[in-house]
Amino acid sequence: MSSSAATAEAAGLCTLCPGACAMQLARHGDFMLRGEVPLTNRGGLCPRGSALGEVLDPPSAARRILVPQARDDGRSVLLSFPDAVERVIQATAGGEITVFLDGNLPAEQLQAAAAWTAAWRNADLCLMIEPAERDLLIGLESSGAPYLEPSAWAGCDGFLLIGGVFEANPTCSRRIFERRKSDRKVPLVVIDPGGGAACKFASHRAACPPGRELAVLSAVAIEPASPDAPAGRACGPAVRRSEDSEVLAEATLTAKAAGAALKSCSRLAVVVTAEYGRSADWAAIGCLAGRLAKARGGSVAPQTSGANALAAVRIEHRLGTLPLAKALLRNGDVRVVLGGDLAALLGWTQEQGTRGLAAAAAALPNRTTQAARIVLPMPLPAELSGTYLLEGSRAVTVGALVPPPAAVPTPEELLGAFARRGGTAAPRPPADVSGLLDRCDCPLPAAWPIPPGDAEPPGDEDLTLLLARQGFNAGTGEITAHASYQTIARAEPDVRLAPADAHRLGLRNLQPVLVRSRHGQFRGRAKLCPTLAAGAVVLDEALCEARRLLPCRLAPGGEGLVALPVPVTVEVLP
Amino acid sequence: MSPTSVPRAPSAGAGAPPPAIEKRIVLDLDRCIECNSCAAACFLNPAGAGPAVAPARAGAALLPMLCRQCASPACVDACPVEAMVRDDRGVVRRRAFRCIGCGSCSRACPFGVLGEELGGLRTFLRSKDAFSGRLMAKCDLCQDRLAADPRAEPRCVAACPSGALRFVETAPPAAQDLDLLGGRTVGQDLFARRTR
Ligand code: SF4
Ligand code: SF4
Ligand code: SF4
Repeated sequence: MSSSAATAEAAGLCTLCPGACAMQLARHGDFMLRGEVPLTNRGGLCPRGSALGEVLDPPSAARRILVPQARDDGRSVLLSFPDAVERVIQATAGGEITVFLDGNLPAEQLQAAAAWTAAWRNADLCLMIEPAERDLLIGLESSGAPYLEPSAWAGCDGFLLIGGVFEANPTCSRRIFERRKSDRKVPLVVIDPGGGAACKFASHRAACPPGRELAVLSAVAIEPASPDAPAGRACGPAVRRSEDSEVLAEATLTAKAAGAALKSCSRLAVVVTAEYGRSADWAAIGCLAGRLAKARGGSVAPQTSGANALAAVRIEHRLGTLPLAKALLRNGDVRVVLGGDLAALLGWTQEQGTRGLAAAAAALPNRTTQAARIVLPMPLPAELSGTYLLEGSRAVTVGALVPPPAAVPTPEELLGAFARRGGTAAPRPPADVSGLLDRCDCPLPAAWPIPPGDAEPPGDEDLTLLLARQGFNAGTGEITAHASYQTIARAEPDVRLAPADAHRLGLRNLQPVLVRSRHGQFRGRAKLCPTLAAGAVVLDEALCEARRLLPCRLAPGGEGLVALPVPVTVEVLP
Repeated sequence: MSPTSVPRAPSAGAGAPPPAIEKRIVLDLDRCIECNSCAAACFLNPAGAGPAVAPARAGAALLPMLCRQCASPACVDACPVEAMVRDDRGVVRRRAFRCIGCGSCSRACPFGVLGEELGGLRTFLRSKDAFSGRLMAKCDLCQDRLAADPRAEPRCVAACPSGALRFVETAPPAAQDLDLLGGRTVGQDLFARRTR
């Protein structure tokens, strides 16, 4: 019923991906607060952005963590804030402490947290972002390629899309469509073994077996007749596996055609998203993609699962905070997780992912807070203001849509309270954050060995599991998992299968299925996906249960974290 | 009449038919990326008549099903309690306090936009009970937004990130550079990119 016109309460930007869509908070009637798309279209608002508005609503707020709690003998006990801080410090017992902070917070929060942990003798800081995204961004930074400014999309004369780009940031589709509307000949090349939405619109699709994005990108980049062919070769480690003749043989025809289509581009846009569980090569892919864009006079547009991953990478580089893999190697430390869901991010079981965990802070319950001995409240992203590196790596100040609830400390305040109680004097106020956000001058990291592990040969009936972006959940779903569209309308997750495989398995669209790897199982409903090559099965990478089927492994020496495609079986359920 | 007031009697047998609707939603088949932003925005609309936009599989694609706001709506004719009406702006709407959830409109709609699997509150309430005791979800073009600002767009259109959904004048399509096929608009190369 249209019985109550909405009253606009606040306007701001969604910060769940670099798209930065405009959103409004609207009050309907006396009590109902909703995230609303502005009255006229200024870009869109995807299901994740809608969820962000909704979790500020009173029904969701009922689930919010508003006061500190401790788990004593299985019981939950409410604590005062000073008592909670005291307990966290006691848990460290004077030893070392590693603080894992959500890397997609505003840059000022990341900078202040780094200042506190630098001053606090016992503590080290890790800015947590998706491991694959971190590698990709380091690769892009090392390539020296410029980032694509919003106004520059209209001038591009070719697009290369790597991964489920339209799922990662649906708004970039509009810019590509507008460009192709003005010139139908603009090539749109897609490399995506996950068969994402962009495949349907591709002018050239480079066939890509699971996990072989680098080999296929190399084949696209090294177009023999091209005068700037060194783009691919110059990346050194980037092509370390491109000699795989079997892969190249399979992909050669389509990759060559795609390479030829991009050959004459003088303003190529490479739009790329790093997906979990695909490859160990994201740094090399980033470097090669960047060099290819640069060689074709173009730019890169990384699509990350939070808006500030690039800022986190740059701050890590400048301030020397711990990369996630190195932080996880520090076994003896007590861990404190502020925001994010560490266990879900790694696809680890709750027990593995929360080893040594003393405390976790979050706005809404997640797997990490469920396992922590001490749970503390934290604001939602829409409740913090500060600087984000949005599209084209522009530094943008984003205001809070609403202030955090009373007595909910910011991450900076939380860390400050811990550090003070640990005997640390307040550090000098950090300088203006902008100096930290300039491009990193980092070299491409050396290729590190893929960790030994589940080299299980696939059986005859096996499919290969890939995880891919889907437009419903942000990151590992710690926020969107609480929204009604995700929990009710999308209650049954999709298991994407190629029609040929579905036919072989006797499966119909939407039939319930069970996917099993040697690490676990996942229940969902089959979704036949004609853009997916036979032999692959795709799950939503934001779902912790899906990640558990192919958990992250640590490379020796903490050089990196990697999850690779694994063989799975798919069973039809009655 | 304010867009939020009770609509007048149903068009069937009510004298002169209401004027043709001025604007309606069209979907560009060549642009939909199946992101479900339209469905989520409609689902979360607290002022509307339920989650009236829901995607349905159409061959290789998953496309949102949108009410065409017909000039002679079969759903209105089929409704036994006159809950479904075409108001004086030509908008086909459901009167919530009259709807008995019988599903007659859903079965009558020739375009399947009120299908029980698609938009009905059944999904919303996670009930196996398709219709009885429920309300049918029905798109009213977000009258609450249009009342607030005449330049406003329905939620699904404003939320669509690819520009596939547009809120356009009903006539004449050619003047708006639209190739209309029923309620859908298509590019020059219909399905070319989807079938390649
Ligand atoms: S997640 Fe990205 S595309 Fe979705 S609403 Fe937020 S900024 Fe827009
Ligand atoms: S519900 Fe169906 S019959 Fe009724 S107006 Fe819409 S498209 Fe026409
Ligand atoms: S929001 Fe637009 S692109 Fe997304 S499913 Fe709806 S019509 Fe398609």
